[in-house]
Amino acid sequence: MDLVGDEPLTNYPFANILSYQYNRGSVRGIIAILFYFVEWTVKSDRLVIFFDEDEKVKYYGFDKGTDEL
Amino acid sequence: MALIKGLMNCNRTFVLIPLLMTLTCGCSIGRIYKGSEIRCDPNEKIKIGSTTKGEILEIFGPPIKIQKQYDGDVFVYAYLQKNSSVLTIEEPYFTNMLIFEYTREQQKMDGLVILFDKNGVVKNFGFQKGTKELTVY
Repeated sequence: MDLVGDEPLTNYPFANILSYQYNRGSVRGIIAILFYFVEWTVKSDRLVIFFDEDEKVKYYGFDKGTDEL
Repeated sequence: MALIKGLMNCNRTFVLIPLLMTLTCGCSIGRIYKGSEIRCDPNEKIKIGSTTKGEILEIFGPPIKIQKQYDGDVFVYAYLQKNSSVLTIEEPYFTNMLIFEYTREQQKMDGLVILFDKNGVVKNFGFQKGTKELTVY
């Protein structure tokens, strides 16, 4: 399953949804001669807005994932 | 006789020690985290038949996938975590031979699927917290 936005959020043909996404990754590691530790984190800021029939905002969801980096 | 045995043991030691010294043992640990953790416990926050789509968006944020069904939408939330550990023993100087390799890889996901009816009210949901099954090493 795609978690960072290569796939579209939805496949609605005439969706009343707008989505915005900003991806950010970080790699942290310790590389010694005989020991490697690597931690790879990908986080996204995502905003999804749903509109009603009159094209007014019905509800929205927002997640500031990059704050967790 | 005892002297000959002693000399043979001594020879073996002289051969084995340099051989063991050429072996290299390496260890690598990897962690991959993708997505955002599911914010709250869905079993506490979601009330079937009363929680609305707007409330779900407010509580859990935007889903990673929205799917349309004939009788309502489906929201999918997921958080993926992958841990890997590798231990290798090799001889890197003369033969470049890998003698032993042990790899352990675990991939777990927290998944939440919420089904809505046509009015945008939660019809049902499924939640699995897979990442708690991950071991540290």
